[in-house]
Amino acid sequence: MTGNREIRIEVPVLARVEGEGALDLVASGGRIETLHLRIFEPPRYFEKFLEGRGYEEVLDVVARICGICPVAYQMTAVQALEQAFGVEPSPWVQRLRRLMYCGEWLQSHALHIHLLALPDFLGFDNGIAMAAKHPDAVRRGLRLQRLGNDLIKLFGGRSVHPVGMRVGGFHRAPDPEQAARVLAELRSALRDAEALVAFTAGLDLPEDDQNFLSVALRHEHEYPMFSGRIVSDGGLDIPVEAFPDRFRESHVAHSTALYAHLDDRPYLVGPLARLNLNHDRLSAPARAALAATGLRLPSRNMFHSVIARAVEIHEAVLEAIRLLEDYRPQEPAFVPVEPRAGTGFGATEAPRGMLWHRYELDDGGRVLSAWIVPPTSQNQARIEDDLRRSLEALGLHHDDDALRQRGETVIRNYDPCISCATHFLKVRVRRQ
Amino acid sequence: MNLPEPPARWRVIGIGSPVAQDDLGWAAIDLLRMAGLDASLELLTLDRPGPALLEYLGPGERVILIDAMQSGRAPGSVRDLALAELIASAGMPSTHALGVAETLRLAQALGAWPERLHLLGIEMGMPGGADSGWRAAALREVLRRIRTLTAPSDV
Repeated sequence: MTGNREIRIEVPVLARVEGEGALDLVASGGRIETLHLRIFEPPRYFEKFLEGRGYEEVLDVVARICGICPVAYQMTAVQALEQAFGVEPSPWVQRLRRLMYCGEWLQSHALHIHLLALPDFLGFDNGIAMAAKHPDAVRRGLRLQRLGNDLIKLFGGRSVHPVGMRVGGFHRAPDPEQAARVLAELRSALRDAEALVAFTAGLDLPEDDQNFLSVALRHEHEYPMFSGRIVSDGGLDIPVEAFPDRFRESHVAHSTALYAHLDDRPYLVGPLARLNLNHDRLSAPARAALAATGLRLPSRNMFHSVIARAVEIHEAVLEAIRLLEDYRPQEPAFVPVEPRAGTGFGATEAPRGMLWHRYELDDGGRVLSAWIVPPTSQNQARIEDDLRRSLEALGLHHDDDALRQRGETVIRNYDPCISCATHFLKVRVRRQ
Repeated sequence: MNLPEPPARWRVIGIGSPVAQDDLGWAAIDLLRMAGLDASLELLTLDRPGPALLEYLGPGERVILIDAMQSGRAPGSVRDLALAELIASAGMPSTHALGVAETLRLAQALGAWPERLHLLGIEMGMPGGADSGWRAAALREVLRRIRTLTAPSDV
């Protein structure tokens, strides 16, 4: 029987993910013996770079961790620094930060769905090959991505490594005329965003239910983005500060990125985890569009992540419209900050999942220590678990190309950012 | 009698980041403005646009892209890059790496290829490295090539 032969699979290059890594797999007797997601991107030492720097520099430094989700890093850091200094930003600032974060979800999810994930589900090698056959889908993705970038630029001056945010608020209030133009674009995009939910739900996604633990923030009444308690579908419900009490990071020999476990179990962060735990917090129109798809939540099928991203795009457009309709400029756009010695914690929902920061500062506001836990490193153990189950469920009797393709699809489905995790992928499949 | 449509104005786009050595495209646009070329050309700068560059490309349009490059040549070398070669060298898009070459491949796949397209590359030096005058000379060379490429006779 082919399913019982000994196989060793090495996939040396994984496309459509960010960073450097590989997948090694050895199987025998129809079962996987070892499976390693090897991450060999060199460590980037951002936490060490921050030590000794003034609090004013932190937001510019952490933005450089990622070109796709700089806002998430800035939002999480600013939250931690403000907590350490006892600063309470105004509700106006909090609303605008949520609005800026909507921009990052929009651009990141739109790019992932249309150029990185869709080729897997429509049978193309990459987004460029797919564009010739599905130009409208690609153009829709590009429109939504641009809209997200425009939202970020409204606050940050530019969409890559934005510079508008500061501890206490923003350097300046967005220009009302520019804000009105973005609002008009958002209203025009609403139909695209709603249609995307039905489109992704109509994809022929693999059926592969698995038992996994979802972890996300949960807010009293908002769909989680900027704040909330850390919850899981295993009963966890803790404040952000208590993260180290229950979550443990550890080294493994085959990865330069840390692995993370919740009470010694792998867990999932990201769009599907957020939707599983927070679908009741969606706005009414987003709930209605989701209900129309017939998707049952919580979902145990990791491939429903693409639907979750579309739902979150829809929610982000709706939320951004709501927030911009109420927008009035306010100067100064920040509250004054007096640095003091202390420790601050932050947790927000980056597009790829929960991002956690902790900073210890001296009385001049210089960073004594920094601790950053990005979403991709939290998902690594879950990705390995998923690969093991998905490839065995597919059947190890399939040829190398089929196993490699499924393996890559599984990994891309998490939209991993290896550089953020310091840390990611190339895949090696070798048969013995 | 109907007159023929005048040809579209050339759109010249400086690509890059406004800081460090990646600002050569931006600096070239500044020089073109100072030389008064904004009267006859549409001059733009884009900060690492990724796929958003597609918005500035389209059938019937005439576009020149100016970008910093690293090809191992002497700093300040200016090249009119062969687009076919550039496109062939494009990698598959990753989350973070939809650069100029990948975006041009996407433009081709989407039928958004301009009527005329040039990409001028300016070799960048080492960040923080000494400038022995190569930078100003490179920008003057770009100005000269833009004038030649967009000369009215070249329609």
